[in-house]
Amino acid sequence: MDDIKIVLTPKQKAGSWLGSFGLIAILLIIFGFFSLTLRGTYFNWGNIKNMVSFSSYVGIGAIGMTFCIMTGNFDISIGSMLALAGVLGASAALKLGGIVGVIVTIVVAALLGLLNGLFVTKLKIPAFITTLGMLFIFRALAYIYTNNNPQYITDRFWIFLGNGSFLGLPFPIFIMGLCYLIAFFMLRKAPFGRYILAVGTNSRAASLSGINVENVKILVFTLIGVFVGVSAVLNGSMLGAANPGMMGDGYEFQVITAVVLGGTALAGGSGSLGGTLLAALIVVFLKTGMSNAQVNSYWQQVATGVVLIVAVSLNKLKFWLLGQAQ
Amino acid sequence: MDENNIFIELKNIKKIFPGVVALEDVDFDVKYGEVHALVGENGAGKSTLIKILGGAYQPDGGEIIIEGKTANISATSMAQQYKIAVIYQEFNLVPDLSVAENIFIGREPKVGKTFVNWKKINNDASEILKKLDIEINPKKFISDLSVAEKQMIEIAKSLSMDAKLIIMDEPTATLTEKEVIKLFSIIEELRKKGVSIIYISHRLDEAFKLSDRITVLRDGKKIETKITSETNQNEIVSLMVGKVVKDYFSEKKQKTSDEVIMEVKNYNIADSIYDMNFQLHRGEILGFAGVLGSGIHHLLRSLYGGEQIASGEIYFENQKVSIKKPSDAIKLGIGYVTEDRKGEGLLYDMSVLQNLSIIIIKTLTAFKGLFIRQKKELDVFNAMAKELDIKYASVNQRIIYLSGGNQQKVIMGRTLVSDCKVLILLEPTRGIDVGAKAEIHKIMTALAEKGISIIMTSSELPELVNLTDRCIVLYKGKLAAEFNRENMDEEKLVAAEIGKHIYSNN
Amino acid sequence: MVKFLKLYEKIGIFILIVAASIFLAIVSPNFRNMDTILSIIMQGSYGAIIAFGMTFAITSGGFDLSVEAVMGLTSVIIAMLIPSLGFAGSIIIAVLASCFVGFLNGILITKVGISPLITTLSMQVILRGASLIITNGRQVVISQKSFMSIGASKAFGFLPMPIIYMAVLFAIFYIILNQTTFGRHVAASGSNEQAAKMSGLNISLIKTVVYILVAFSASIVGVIRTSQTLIGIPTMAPGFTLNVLTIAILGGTSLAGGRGNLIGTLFAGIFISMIYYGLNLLNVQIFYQMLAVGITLLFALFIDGLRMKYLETAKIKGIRV
Repeated sequence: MDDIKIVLTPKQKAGSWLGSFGLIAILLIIFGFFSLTLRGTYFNWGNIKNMVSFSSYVGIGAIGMTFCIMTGNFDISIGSMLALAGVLGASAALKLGGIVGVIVTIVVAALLGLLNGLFVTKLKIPAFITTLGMLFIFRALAYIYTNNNPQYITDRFWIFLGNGSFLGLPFPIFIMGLCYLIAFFMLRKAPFGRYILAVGTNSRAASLSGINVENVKILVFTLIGVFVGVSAVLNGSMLGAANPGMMGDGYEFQVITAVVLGGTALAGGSGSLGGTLLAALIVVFLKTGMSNAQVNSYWQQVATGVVLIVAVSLNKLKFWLLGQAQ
Repeated sequence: MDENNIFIELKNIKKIFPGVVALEDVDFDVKYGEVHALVGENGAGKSTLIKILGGAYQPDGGEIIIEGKTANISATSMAQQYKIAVIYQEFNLVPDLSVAENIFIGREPKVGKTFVNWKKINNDASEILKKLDIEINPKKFISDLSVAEKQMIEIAKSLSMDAKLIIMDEPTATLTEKEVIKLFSIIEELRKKGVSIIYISHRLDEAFKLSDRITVLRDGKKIETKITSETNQNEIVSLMVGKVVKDYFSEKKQKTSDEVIMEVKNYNIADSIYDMNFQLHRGEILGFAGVLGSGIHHLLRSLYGGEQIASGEIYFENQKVSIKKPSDAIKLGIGYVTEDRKGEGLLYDMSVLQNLSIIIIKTLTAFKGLFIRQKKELDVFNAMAKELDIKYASVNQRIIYLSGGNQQKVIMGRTLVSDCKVLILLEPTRGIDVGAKAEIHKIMTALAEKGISIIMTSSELPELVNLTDRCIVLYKGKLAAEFNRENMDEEKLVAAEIGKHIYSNN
Repeated sequence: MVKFLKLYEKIGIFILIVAASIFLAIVSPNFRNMDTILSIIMQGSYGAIIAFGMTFAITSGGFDLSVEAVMGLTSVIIAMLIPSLGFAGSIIIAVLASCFVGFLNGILITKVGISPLITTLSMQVILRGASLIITNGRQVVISQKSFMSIGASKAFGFLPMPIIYMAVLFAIFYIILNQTTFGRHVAASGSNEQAAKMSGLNISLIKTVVYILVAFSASIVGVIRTSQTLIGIPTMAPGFTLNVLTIAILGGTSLAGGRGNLIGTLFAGIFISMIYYGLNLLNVQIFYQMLAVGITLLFALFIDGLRMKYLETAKIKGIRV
């Protein structure tokens, strides 16, 4: 081992700091701010539990999206995917019970993801616009299948998943924890995670290293489906229904915000699941705080849009400071 | 116009890149109406010089004097203002616009201040094309033109800007014989008009046909400028090559075995390789030499499954095999190290450890390929790092922080850990400093001695001469010459590379 | 294959329209009368006009997902300002505001370097929110009925005004794209940005103006629609962006950039309208229209993908996110 010292310039040090601690700092600042201004209504254990629980909606879906963006791709159809899987699963549950319903939801979502993956890789159509088209097709199918009627979810098992508690914590927290554990494992400990990184960093080098780039991409799109399916299950459970029009409305935007804010580069390559999780929490903590403070929901919407632009700009700033090639 | 009729003069030009001195103390001048050829081996500094003249790079030392005044070509647009036009190998044309629009892009004749004056732009374009005796309809789209025609348009573009100096970088590399003749007549026309031309080419016979003077670059220095009529090709070749003996190579190794490990027959790649045949022996270091357009890279990529072949057979260990994608090659035991480290080799966001293990990562797992065994991965890495003497601060540091030489070792290590029997190395020491070069040469020799066969290419001929057991030279996609270690030297290689078959197989 | 694709590029959309016309004429007696045909064309004009702007954006190598929100913004500004500024005043302010939005898009894309996807997607969300803020979530009724004449009156007694607007805007955009140096430079930026830059073109300026044009075209349709319904709707035309993109790509403008086909766009707009008409005949729910547009988009992308594969030279244009 040679003594090669890596000396970071002040700019690089700032960039590195921004990456590692920035998110935690932002979360704490937001939490602190609303706790101080709203006091008891915000700063109580029950609220915190709920906020973390709600963040599973965006948080779980964002796992698949993190992988997707890491490979340099994009999927804007996830909101409609959520809805279609949700209504199909819910209607299955009405006839065959909750367990079947949950499975159907996840499987359908996975298949939809697979479809996206096939279109993007085999037909070589750019991911964002393909999935934009699918966004409408999935949504239309959801409407058509249900005749625009919400599918109610009454099965006890399914209801429990989103609303029940275990050891004092809302159940979704466990599911989210489990999903993230699996995802961490896949990314860090399994060869597949290396392949994702390689394809996203330099797909030509990945191909020359014997990796089947197309298969990796298809699998990633399918994974998006799986995680979106799980989110659909929880979401349907919390709402008590799968509504073809409203379910998943604006979902893709929230998920993308979480992934980008979490530090994953849009150009592909480096990604951070931990960042995504923190970002999902940030978004929910912020939203809850604003709602409790009775901020006009329309202003909230504007803020949501601004947050994404700021998040991307911060990401660019971080990379520029670190002097890394984009 | 000063008395010597010099348009542009470069004095003491210096250009440094991290770790490499690209140009040093280069003096150079071009007269009005002169065709000045610039020759040198790959890596001699020609393209750096062009980029400086074109405003893409700025010199780190020295000065440029144009028409008697000091010039500062700080950007590509400045080069235009100085009436310098560069025709790069990969043209700067807009495919979806017409010929006339491309010629006058940014300076279109207008009706009022906004509307394109189609009549005038097409007429003006026709005029310029006529002056150059080019028969292309100015309304045609660039995307419909052939490579040769695009080149003509680039020249027409330069002329429309009243360029006084046109620099052509390897203009004939992709042209047919007929198109080359046409190009030459256009160059003649330009010369008559007093336009200066810097002509860069590996093809010395062209340089001798066209130029008034020839300047030779070698290792970033200007060696000599000769008046063309007062010299000959042999003299130029020896100036390009130099008498300097580079002695940082390792000892010549023992004789290779006679066992043929790989054979290629009747090999054809569309537009690149024609009827290629060769054999590779176990433990042999086989070199390939050739200039731009020789097809070497296509050939070697295809052996790894990176490119499609039109026809032909590959035999590996006496079995006919089909290599359609890299994983096929990897399964056979063929490894590949690209010449384009940054574009195709480095997984730059990943760590040193991850870069090394990526090909075999699936084998370093437990539970049927699900769970990476970190200790196993680390052991494999340490073993290879020791063997190749890779210097790094930590296994987890990003590979981009390593020096070029160590990066190259990691990429080589990547293929070596997959137990390859044949290693294809493209430009193994490009962009690497002298010390690291020697180490890599040592590694290559050691590998060959262990029985691993190596196919390599290099634009640094001394490397080929000193390292390889055999060297095959390709010219325009065909086998031009084959040399054994005993009868190989740089001059013969260069000669064969540029198509002079004076030294044939012996 | 290359021949087929080149042919498709030239007359594909015409053939589609002719085929659809014949089919509809046979199947629906109503189709054969002038009023119906004019109505179909008018319905198509809304998407077509915005698609003219979108064609510019795609030709420059980008695209704009915020157009439906610009429509909404225009709508609410007009509705809120008519009482105090009258027709002309409120329209001018609304259009100017939209152009400013386009300017912002352009700056974010060219100077900050955020991709068109993220920029316009975020802008969409921001504008919707802003529109809702302006009207406090309501739809605002316009009481001056004469405002309706802008979008709903008929010239010469039978020709709906939107068709005239479409024709005029078509002419203007066509001239800009094909006859002005600016338009040619837009094509150059999308065709080979590197070469365009090296030739001294100001890419930032060119692209910013393009995004202003897109917002402008969306704003015009916002004016027309608001006039027709006499309501300022903050959430106007949800999902319309997909329509517009489909029209532009179906009409032959390639996502690869550099090749804007406004004539194709015009006819594609009418064709999509014919699809809607046909679906209406089948009495299906409105959701089938969504499905149809989505499938048509995929089809158009598939053809475009084939074109990129077979007609482009070795240069690969990556459409990066």
